[in-house]
Amino acid sequence: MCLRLASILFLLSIFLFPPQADLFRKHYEAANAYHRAGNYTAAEAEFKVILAEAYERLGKVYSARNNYQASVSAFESARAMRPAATDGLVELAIAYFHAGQYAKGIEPLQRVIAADAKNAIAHHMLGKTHFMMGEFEKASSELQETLRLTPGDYDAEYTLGLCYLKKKDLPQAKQLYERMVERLGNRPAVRVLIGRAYRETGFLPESIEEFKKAIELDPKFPRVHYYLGLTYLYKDGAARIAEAIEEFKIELAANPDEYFANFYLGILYIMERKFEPAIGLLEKAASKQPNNPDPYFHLGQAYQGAGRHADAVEVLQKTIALNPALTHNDYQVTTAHYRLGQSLLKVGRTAEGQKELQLSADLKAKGFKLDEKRVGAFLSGTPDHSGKDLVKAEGMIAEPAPLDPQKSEKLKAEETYYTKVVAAGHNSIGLLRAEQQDFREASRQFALAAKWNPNQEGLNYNVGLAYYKSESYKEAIPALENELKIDPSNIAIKQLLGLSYFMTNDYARASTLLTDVVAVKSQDAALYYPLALSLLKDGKLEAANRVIEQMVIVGANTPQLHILLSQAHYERGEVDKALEELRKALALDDKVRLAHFYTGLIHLKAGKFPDAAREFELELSVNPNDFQAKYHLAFVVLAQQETDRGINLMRELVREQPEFADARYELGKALLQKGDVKGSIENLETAARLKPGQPHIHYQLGRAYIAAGRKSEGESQLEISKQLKEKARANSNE
Amino acid sequence: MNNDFSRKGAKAQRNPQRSLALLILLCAFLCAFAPLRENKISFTDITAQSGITFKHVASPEKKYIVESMSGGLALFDYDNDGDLDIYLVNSLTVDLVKSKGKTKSDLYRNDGNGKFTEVGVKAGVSDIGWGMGVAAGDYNNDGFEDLYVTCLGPDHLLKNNGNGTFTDVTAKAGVNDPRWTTGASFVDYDHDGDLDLFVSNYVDFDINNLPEFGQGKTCQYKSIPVQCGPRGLKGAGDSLFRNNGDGTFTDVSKQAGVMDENGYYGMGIITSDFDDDGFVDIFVANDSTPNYHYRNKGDGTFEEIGFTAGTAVNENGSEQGSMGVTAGDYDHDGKLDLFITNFADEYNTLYHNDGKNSFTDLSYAAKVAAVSLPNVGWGTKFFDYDNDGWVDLFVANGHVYPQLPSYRQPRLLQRNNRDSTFTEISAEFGNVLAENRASRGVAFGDIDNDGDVDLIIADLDGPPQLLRNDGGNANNSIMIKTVGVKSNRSGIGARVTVVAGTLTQVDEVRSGDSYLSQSDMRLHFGLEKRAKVDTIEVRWPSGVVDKISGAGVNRIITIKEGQGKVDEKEFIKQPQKGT
Repeated sequence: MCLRLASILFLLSIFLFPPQADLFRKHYEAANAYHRAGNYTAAEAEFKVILAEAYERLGKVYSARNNYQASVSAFESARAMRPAATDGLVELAIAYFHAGQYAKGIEPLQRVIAADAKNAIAHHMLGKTHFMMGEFEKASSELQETLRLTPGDYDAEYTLGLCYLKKKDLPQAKQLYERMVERLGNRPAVRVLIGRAYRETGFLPESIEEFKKAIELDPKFPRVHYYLGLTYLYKDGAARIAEAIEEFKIELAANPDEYFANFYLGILYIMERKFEPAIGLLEKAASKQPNNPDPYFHLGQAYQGAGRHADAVEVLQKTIALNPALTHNDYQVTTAHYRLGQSLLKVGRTAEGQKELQLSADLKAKGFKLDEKRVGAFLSGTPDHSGKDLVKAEGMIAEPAPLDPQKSEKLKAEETYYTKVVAAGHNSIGLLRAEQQDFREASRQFALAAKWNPNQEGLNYNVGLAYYKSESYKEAIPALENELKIDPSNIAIKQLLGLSYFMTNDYARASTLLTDVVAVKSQDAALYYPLALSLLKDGKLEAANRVIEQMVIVGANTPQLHILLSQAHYERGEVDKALEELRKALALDDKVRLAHFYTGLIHLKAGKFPDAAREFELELSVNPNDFQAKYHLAFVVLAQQETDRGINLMRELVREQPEFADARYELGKALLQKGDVKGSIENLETAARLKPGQPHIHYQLGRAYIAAGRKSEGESQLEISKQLKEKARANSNE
Repeated sequence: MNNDFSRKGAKAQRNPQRSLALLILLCAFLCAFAPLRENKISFTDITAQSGITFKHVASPEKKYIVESMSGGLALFDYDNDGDLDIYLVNSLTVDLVKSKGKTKSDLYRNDGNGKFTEVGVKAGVSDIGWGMGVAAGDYNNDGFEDLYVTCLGPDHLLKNNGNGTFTDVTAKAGVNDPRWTTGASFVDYDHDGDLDLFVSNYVDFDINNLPEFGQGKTCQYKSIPVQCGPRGLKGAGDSLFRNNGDGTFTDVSKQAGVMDENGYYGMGIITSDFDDDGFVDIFVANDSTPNYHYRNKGDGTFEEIGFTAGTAVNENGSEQGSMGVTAGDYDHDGKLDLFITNFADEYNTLYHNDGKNSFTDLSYAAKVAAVSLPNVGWGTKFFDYDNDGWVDLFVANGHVYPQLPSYRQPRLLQRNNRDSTFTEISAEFGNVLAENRASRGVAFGDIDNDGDVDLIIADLDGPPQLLRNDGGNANNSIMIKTVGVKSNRSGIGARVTVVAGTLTQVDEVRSGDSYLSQSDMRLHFGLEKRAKVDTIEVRWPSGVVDKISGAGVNRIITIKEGQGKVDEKEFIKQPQKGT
């Protein structure tokens, strides 16, 4: 089977798109030339240059859209294409920064600075990164260097001021901010900015002073009264509600549609128990930001205060729907459920109300644990991103401003273009690797290509084939299935897919596809064995026998034939004949797969554990990755009371396949025997989750709970086991 | 005297204008010295003259949360001589622990006439380590009240030997909870006639692994570096010890369903039959976490119903920094309501008992909320300071952070207006209540047996204040002392209903309430001017009911289970009290 080369033509077509077209064309042509000359390494290097550039462009597109997780991924991919280069490292660090992955940004920036000590942007970014990590000395040092290189960088200067404040060096910060005022002018915007810096770093009297200065300069400056009011509350709490209210009223008069003014004044009126005015304000705030759960949350409280419980129910349900996750704001989530419960009770929906109250109790417990972990980590020295508070200065969610539509369209077009370039680049490298028989890497490249452009012609087939050739059958299946949907009569695809199903033990599907294949390729002896075995495993004995007969005609005496014959004998209860056929298979090829395994199974069923163990071990010696052989060996070892060895084997199995219920069960049972009750419970609980209908699992789990002193839970599991057994008995009687 | 008058009178008749002028002058003179408002009741600080020299030890900076939380005390009659003695719990500091220093808790014997004698060392109750609070109860039914002292580290069950001494039997009894224990309450939860013990625990505190003062979000208060916690620190669960009847206890916390697997920060405890089903329930005020309201199912287990009952959080759904707790029927509907003291900027919460395990937060409606906002509240009680038959509210306040200017705070005395609201009146009592202090536990009781309720307030940083109620007994009252027979000897859990004309009051005998403290177990009922009590009904934990009719007023009546009134003593008439 050949990999599809259509993508190369496709690749050519996309070079017509400016502005990177020339660069891409140049490297594509170079790659082609190297390929023709048989220099695969150099050809691949050229494609990697294209990929690096395309990934970097994609990264910028995602950053422009504030999708920083995606831009991190794109920039990291660009970097992987040219690990020695410093191009794009600053952009990568910026993406890390915005994605909150601060620690990761350090090394790329340090590399940039090592290559160019005068890179002011890198110093600036490094300063900010250290700041967000709470490393204020290092942050100060970098920001001072930034200012030395670019004295007019007010952003760096402002952040440096924050560093001083975080270090509690008020005089330095004051001096710096006064210099900023001198240079930028004594304007309200500057005063507000400085005021916010003081506020967020806990210098509340200084903050108040700055906001008042801003007000003196321009009493109508947007948000300044709101900032001042908030600061009053931060500083003195309930004692200054009246003053804060006055400030918010002024703000509202000047900016009646300002979300925060409406929102905070609404909350303050609630605190004053003036629910009617609070309702009006919060309804307005909600209309300004309809997808923000916060105004609905407080509006619910205002409705409750005003006795409008039906309205409270509606908005509290909305806030919950918009804000379900504890990790976002656990207080709000848990309290919303409580308030909802209370209002439901008031409107006579008692059962729902009780349910909400109980949910609130459970969530509060969970939230408490989250808090413990978060703050405990901080107190034990794991640094919190203490600069994060500055990013969310208002303390509440605000919806991001929408992109300009024209810009949005342009970004979309760029994304479409560069994803195609990336997909084509990976596909090309995949083809190069496949030509070199490196199917593992080829499959990885094709998978990347498919990720970026799933509709690229021929890609599914390439992916499927490459995975198949690298024996990654499970990964091959989805791609081949997709390809078969497009071309349902393609025998080559059916063969690959059928064999992949066979290798992953999906015998029903394997037998269906391979039947079609064998009908067309009846002289290909290698196809009969997997087809016959699949039919046998699928319980289609007659069909299997016909295939075996045909196999004898076509393929004559092969080990696979004897394995098949042994299966057929075993199904008929002819154990000795089954064993004889397996011996014949091994005589022809002592490394043939599955012969020892099936022999082992026969011995196991006969209770001959040492013989079974020996056979499984022999199977593993020729086929070390055979999971079933490993599992059965572990099973027999445990049965022979070699508990420690059996436990180790089972542990390996569950590490490889954590969702293998039978292994979990056996491991759990063995651990219980050894007295490791906690480990036992962990595994048995997983087994029960994976196979909830198995009575023996519940039985063991019940025993484990009882051993752990969890008597009532244990009794409950035993009861489940009993009921499952009775149900099974009843079903079999029917 | 009369002659003088006649002579003056004669003169006046001879010169009426001058007499009038003199009269006016006399009135002006008298009026200038008349009080602006008539207040017949006062509280007199008699600490110094009483002989109490105890000083609570605390570190000035309070860098660690454990240094802010002690301050329990007890009013109980340890020698059965009929008057209340005082036990004061002392604590340590981190520095003292590290230098292996010690402090002394103290027992003061009431000698009568307002005098107390220190007997702590002799009694064997002084050396208890880092003490927090105390509860009293006759756990072995020998007729002498024992003590359970809660501590950071090992607690102490101090068995009263009946001869003026105590023996620490903690280990032998199996009731040690080695965690940071705060609240304690003796309670017969299984109604088998002996007292079991419930204790609350606060934070999983390791003195060898202290969080750093001022570092991090939970170690800052309005940007000021302060001690860390409790939020963010690992909490500790609670314990219920069942009395086996032979001097030993069994830890039944888990099976009873009161273990607190969430690890909430347990503080004050109160036990009461809130739903009046005959089984005593347990309420735990949890700091910064939802409160626990355990309904006794009557089968040895409890069901936690805080959220569904409405007592876990306040009306806004917010958990509060809860410390002290009291119960009382403030609106005379026959049901016991709950009042909890909370942290600053969080109002003290009044939960009205609506019946059937449902409570409503009426703090604002009752006007107890706003007045409490600036303060951090601790010891508290519904108590009838003026004997008018309606329980009033007292709250002792004091912040936890000495770094704040508002660290020391005044007390609150809120008079019951008889219309389900309260009015804050502490200013009327002058400095004794208005003075700013770092108060913690408060215990209430009639220390001079004169018919009005006195109180003793612990101060975290120094001596307590013993405040004698002067004038409260201008109205009538009655005190009920219970002695169990089938029920526990202390009568803890007994529900007493007193009916005098149109006035019906109900209360219960309890061990431990307020903030980690023990008040007089004799129940006090104000009667205003009523001259007789129609009925006194005692419903014992055993189910036995005693009813007494036509009791007199202004006396202490002892009621023994199954036998009714067995003793009565009139209140002691005190000489004219000066300030």
